[in-house]
Amino acid sequence: MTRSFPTQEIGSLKKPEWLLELVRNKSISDEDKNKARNDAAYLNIKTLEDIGLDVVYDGEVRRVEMYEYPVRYIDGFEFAGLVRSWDNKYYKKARCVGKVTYKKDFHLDEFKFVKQNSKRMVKVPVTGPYTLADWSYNEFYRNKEEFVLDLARNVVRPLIQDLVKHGAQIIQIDEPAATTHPAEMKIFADAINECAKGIRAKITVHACYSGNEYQALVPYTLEIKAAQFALEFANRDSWKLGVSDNVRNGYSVLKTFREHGYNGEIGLGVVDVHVDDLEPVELVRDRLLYAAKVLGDPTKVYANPDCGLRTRTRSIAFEKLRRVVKGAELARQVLS
Amino acid sequence: MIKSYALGIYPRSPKLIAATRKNDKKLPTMFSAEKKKLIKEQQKAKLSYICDPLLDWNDMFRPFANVKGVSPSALNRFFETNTFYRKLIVSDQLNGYGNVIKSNIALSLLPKKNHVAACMPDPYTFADLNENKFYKNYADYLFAIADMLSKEAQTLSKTNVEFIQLNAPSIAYRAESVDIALVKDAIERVKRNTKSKVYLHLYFGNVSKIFSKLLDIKIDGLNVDLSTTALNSIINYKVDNGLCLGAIDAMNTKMEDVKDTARIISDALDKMEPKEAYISTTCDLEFLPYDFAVKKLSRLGTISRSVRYD
Repeated sequence: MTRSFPTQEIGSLKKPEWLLELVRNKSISDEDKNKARNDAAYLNIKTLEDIGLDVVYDGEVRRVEMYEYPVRYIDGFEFAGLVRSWDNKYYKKARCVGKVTYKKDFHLDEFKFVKQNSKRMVKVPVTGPYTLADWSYNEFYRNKEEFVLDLARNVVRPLIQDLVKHGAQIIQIDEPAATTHPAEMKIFADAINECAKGIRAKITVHACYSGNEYQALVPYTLEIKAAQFALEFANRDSWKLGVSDNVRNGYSVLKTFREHGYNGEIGLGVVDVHVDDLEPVELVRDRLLYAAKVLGDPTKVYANPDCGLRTRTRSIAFEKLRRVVKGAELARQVLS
Repeated sequence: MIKSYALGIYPRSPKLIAATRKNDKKLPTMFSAEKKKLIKEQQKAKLSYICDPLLDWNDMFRPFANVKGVSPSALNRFFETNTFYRKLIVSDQLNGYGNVIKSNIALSLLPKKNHVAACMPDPYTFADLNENKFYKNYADYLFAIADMLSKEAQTLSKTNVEFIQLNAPSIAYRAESVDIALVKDAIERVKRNTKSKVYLHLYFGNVSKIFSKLLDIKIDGLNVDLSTTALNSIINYKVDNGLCLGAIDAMNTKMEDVKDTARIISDALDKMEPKEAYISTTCDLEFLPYDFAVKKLSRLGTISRSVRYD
């Protein structure tokens, strides 16, 4: 993109209640359920377009969740059971009991639908190999590196190849576990590069909430073959207006990116996805202007939420996205 | 044969998880029933110490959220796991009542014929993972926590809890930077005036470089997670006190081989010669799904009976 502060979403949105009720209803046929999913996807795409985002997808409306959904389509995994994430929140965790292989092009149909129905740039979110391995039990591979790299070579890269073959131009590799284990950053970097090998599409990486404010990631930013790192910042930042260092404390790591020589794109989390409070558009503006001041080139600063908005109600989520778009407009006005 | 135990938070069964999602009215009864089941599993595995499986604890600090001067805040990642805990903010002087752990464990469910154990965070881990907004310096903060936990330990001791484990993942995780002299003082404060055995559980990090200093702490023993501290790196230390080897991996579903594990533990104990020896899980079982946790308990018991150590 050549304009300053392009806008994008990150991935998931809360599914509409009517869709959940319909999908859970055993008396409704699979065909009708798929029609309902198409309707919900179409609704999400059009809403995101109406809000004015430059890059859209379907809110991941067909996916149960970012880990469980892909694991269902990978040979070598078996679900072990539920494990706590926090309090009463649990996720289904799988064991790797054999060599991992790609069973089915599990995002292709949804991508084709989005491509057919969207007038905007489309970005396909894909769960990354490091996170798939890190959130699973490894009973098969000798070590984590072998496990992660096999997932990259045998599952995620073929998946991306299929998507690109059918016209995908932007792939976002979701890696929330990316910097959870600082000592394993080399494995993570190698895995992303394995995924990107031979791929003729823009590869971006989304990481979030994995500790140490990306200090562990910075040394690998030049080595990782990704055009963009889309990261969360807003949840750590103050709500005061301004573009000074002390006010924009949540974005201080950007200076480390610059000092390290990183000059690629940053997907800048400008709204917090874990609170209902709505960020004023002027705050979004200042966060973007601060990033542009630190990184230099506003065309390389993308405005987005910290993460997918699935934990918020749909009305809050859409309002947050509206503020991302309006904040970016204000920031462009300041620079012009 | 050596002694064994598995302390900490256990996983909830799928049925209990479903009930918590619906905020079922029968939840308190269900928690009790599910706790009883897991206590029976511990008995079936013939563990030396039996404990409350803490199914109603959301994380190891949450029982302290109601202490005066303490309030819960945001979720934070629990070390390098995919599990989150709620950070506590200490905003006033800590005057623990000495009754927090006791009132949050179901002592009445634990059979009187069994030896009873309980766990709580060690003072350093408590200080490290929560936030001080009251004490002017770190030492004051740490020692206030230690004094609060000491009261807890004394109360537990008076209620026939024979074995208390201080969960110390922060000491292991930050082994290279932890001020051991300060931490030693804090831990010894917890042990002081407590008749129960007090063990320090070191998990989620490699403690080989500070192992000799940890052995100097005047408590009853150390528990070392062998998935993060290689046994070979500590095997040449003579251990005068007690030693528990965390040999059953509670972070992986893969089952330990009975013969191999028992042989490795036996050989290590022969070299290290601790005054008393135990084996346990590497950490809380809550990182495994319910069925696997039960299998691991059984495997723990089997291996403990296969280890030879006089």
